[in-house]
Amino acid sequence: MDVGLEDTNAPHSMGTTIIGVTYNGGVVLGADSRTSTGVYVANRASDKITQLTDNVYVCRSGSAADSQIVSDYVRYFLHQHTIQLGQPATVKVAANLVRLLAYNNKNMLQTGMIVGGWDKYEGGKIYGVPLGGTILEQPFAIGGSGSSYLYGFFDQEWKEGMTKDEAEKLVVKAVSLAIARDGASGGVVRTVIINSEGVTRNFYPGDTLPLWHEELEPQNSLLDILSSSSSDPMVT
Amino acid sequence: MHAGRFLEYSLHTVQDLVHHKLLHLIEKQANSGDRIDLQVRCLAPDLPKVPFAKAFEEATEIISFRFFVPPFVWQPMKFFGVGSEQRLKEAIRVVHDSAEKMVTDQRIELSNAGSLDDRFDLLSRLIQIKNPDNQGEKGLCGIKMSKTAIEVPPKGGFSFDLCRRNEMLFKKGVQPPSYRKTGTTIVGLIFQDGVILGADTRATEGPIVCDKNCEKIHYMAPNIYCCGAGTAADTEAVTDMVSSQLQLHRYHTGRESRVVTALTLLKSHLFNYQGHVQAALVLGGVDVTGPHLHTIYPHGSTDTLPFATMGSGSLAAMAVFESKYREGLTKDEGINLVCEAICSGIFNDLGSGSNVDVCVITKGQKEYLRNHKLPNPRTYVNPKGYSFSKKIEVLSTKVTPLKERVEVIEGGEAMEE
Repeated sequence: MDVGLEDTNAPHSMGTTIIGVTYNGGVVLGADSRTSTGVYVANRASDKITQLTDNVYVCRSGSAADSQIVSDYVRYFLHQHTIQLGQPATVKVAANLVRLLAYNNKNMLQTGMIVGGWDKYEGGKIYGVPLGGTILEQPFAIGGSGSSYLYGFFDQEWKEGMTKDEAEKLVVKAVSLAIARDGASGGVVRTVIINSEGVTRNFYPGDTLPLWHEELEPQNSLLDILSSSSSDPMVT
Repeated sequence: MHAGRFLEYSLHTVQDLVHHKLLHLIEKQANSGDRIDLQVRCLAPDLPKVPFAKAFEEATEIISFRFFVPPFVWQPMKFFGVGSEQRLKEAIRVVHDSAEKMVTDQRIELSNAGSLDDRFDLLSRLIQIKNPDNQGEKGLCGIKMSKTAIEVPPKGGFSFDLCRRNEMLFKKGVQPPSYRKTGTTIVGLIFQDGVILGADTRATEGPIVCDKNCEKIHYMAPNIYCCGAGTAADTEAVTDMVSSQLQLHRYHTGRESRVVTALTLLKSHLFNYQGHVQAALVLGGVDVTGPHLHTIYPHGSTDTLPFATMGSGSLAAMAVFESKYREGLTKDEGINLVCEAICSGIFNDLGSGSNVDVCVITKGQKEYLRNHKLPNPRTYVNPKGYSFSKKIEVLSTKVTPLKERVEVIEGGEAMEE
């Protein structure tokens, strides 16, 4: 009983794989959907891509509480800023606000974020704001515990000037590779595509993802395969 | 600029104290061979013989004696002026007199010297600044002389100093006092017309069940209920607090409360306390925007889900939900599923037990089914029942209804200013 209690009282963290990629005309943000407390999966279908404004979204990783609070504050500040400015906020401003909160509270926060969006001045932009509060403008950014497995993949597969479909396929492939190797990432793959036309949200359930090296077909129940073969369950 | 002046001032103070007072004291001590207590703030050489300090200590001792004996012992003693209470009266008188004398002395010194700049204690500073006010200064003297330091709370936010101290003590092996937890299985699910919440009813204090039938489904608003797991005091306090805030908000806006309002209030409170308020909640309700179900973790993160479980029995209950939940359940199917999930927690988790509470919330209506299922009845009940021994007799019976009926009189007199 005590072990179970300890686990469920552990801070809610998002093991996570988050990705942000620019393409010719916008950005694609992608993330897995697993939130864990210790070794228990508290939410297997969480949405880690949160809206900041109509045209800027942020991928959250690290401590769930910290990243939710930071994105709530930034959404509030951006809303005020938009009213005062009289036009939609730029991605740079949104990313900067995230960075200011992350840097000035670096001792108390444990969250890495990827801010991505589209504005009419700069087009599609991705800004990475990792632990500590650095801000780095990049053509693509990866974050979370699952990103360790993707550095080599992106070095090889990334190219400038991809189309929207190419970019989305790349993101989905990358997240599913990370899910295959990282225990703290899993569930479904969510993507958000932001361009001049607007925002499109997509959802790829776990069973639609390609199978990688030594991965088995998903089963509904082991009883299904048992009944098809012999009645003795212990046959190899 | 101010930092420079402050530095200078501190340096000056320390130099003075060291040269004029500390060195003399140490010299005297070296000559006489006495032990001195450097912790006491006053550096006068004749410290140990101050009657004021002695009287203060005696008073503290006698007052603490009051806590060890029941009130009917020390109160008559106080009334008649007998024994330890008499000594207490004497001690208090000495304390007050010394305090007054000190204030008067300081004031005389002020009028003689013109300024008390070379005295660095708090009393001198304040006598200079404030207008002569007897009451205030005596009180201040008392405060100053008291052993406990006044701590000015730091600006804003919650001070986590004691939390750190507790962690340090725990590492050293000091066992914290055991507190009441709701081991718990709490669940919630969304069905076709609204939300169903469920909870077990066991409250534990370490290994002991301290309450076999407690209520874990707390009222937040007429259309919102919240199940709480974790430390019982924390869940009760936080849900009560947010429930009051929601009521005020309803008065302010004139509208039915929304679930996201309760969610935001709870989440910001829990985040501010960084997980030290150990309350894990399942919040559910139906408002104008539809049915909502959220889980809130002690650190302040939230999830929005169609079905959720929390508490030590959450794994057992989630197993039931994952295999049997589907969208568009009817009310009876939903209640049965919730009962099944809670029962699985009750029977498979040591921290959950006793009965099942269910709460069904739909648009405009709620049903709180307290003890909907009792799968743990008391098996061996003494048929004779309990009877008081013959020596105890009922002397008088008085029944007072708790709610008095109030009569509203139409056309009564208007209130006047």
